[in-house]
Amino acid sequence: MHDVTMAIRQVMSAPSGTVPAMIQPDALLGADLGLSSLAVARLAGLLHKRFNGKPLPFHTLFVDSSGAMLHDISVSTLVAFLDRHLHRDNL
Amino acid sequence: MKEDSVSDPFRLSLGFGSLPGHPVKGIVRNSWNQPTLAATGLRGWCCQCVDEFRPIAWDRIAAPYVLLEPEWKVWHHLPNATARRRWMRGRVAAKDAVRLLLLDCYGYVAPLESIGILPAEGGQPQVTCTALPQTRNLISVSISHCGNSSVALAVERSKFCHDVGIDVASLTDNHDGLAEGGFVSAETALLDDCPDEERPGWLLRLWCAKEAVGKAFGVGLAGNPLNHIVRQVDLTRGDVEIESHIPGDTTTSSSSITCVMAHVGHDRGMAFAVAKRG
Repeated sequence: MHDVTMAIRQVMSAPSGTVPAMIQPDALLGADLGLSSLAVARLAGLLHKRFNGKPLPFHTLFVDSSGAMLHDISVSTLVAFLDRHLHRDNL
Repeated sequence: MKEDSVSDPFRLSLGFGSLPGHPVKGIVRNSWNQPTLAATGLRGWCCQCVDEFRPIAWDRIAAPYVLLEPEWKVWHHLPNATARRRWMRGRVAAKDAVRLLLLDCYGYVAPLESIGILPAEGGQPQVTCTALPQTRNLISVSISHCGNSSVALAVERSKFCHDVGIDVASLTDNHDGLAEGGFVSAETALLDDCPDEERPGWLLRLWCAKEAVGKAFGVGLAGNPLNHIVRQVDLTRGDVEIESHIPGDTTTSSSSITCVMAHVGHDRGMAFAVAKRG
């Protein structure tokens, strides 16, 4: 969770962004945190680099278990996604 | 009062400007030509850029004058003040672009209150003009936001151009992580001949190209920037070839692959891209 919130703060720190004091696990990346698709791509890139370039299937991040596209996801969904694809010790 | 320059702040308190050469009031400002120049050979492209400098809730004052009732309902239900102001800025830019297009293509001086721009089912903006009902499906418009600026591109639909997309992004913001999160290595390798100091700006243009193509197809990035892969870049002309994987509609699970050209450039501290779906 810490790595994710740090990366979110990093992509929100652009001049046009406002960083909230607390990032709640149930906050939606788009609707609540106001991340654009560009910011979400940067977030994926920063997390990719944070975990030493380990391949992460970010192309499946916005797809649910039935294969339907999700328009937005929560911070906790992103954490769970990383949890599934990385060793928990890294989080 | 007419506003003479797109670089002027949005002067709500000074009243709305007029369409060029016509006494009808509106919010029209000078058009932003740079993106339309990039797409050479295409007639009837009208682009508009609206900047916002004043930290006041101007959108609440302007709403009754700018928005039709269905638009007001959408605006009113947006979750916070920032989102409402951004949405309003986009409507102002889009209505300006549409009114300039109607003047350009039809010689029609459209009153501000006759133009409606509402999100369609897929979220893409749809234009209505109560004074010209036949224009309902004749105009495609696309909107993009960047910091305190909003831009819009309006185009008359034809057999060569059914829909358009525009995207802008700030060249001065930090875009660390974009190369790794938005592209595959084959795409970034297309910039190997690009001077190091120009590479971040070009990467941002390629990103804008993906977004613009996604908008032109009405699907956006569909949750994955790799649905739109950059295949070729002409650094001199600013042409970008994108291979797009377009998801099937609700009746079919199959997707289609299409190659589209986007045109990219930079102006006003922003990278921009425009694309059309023929």
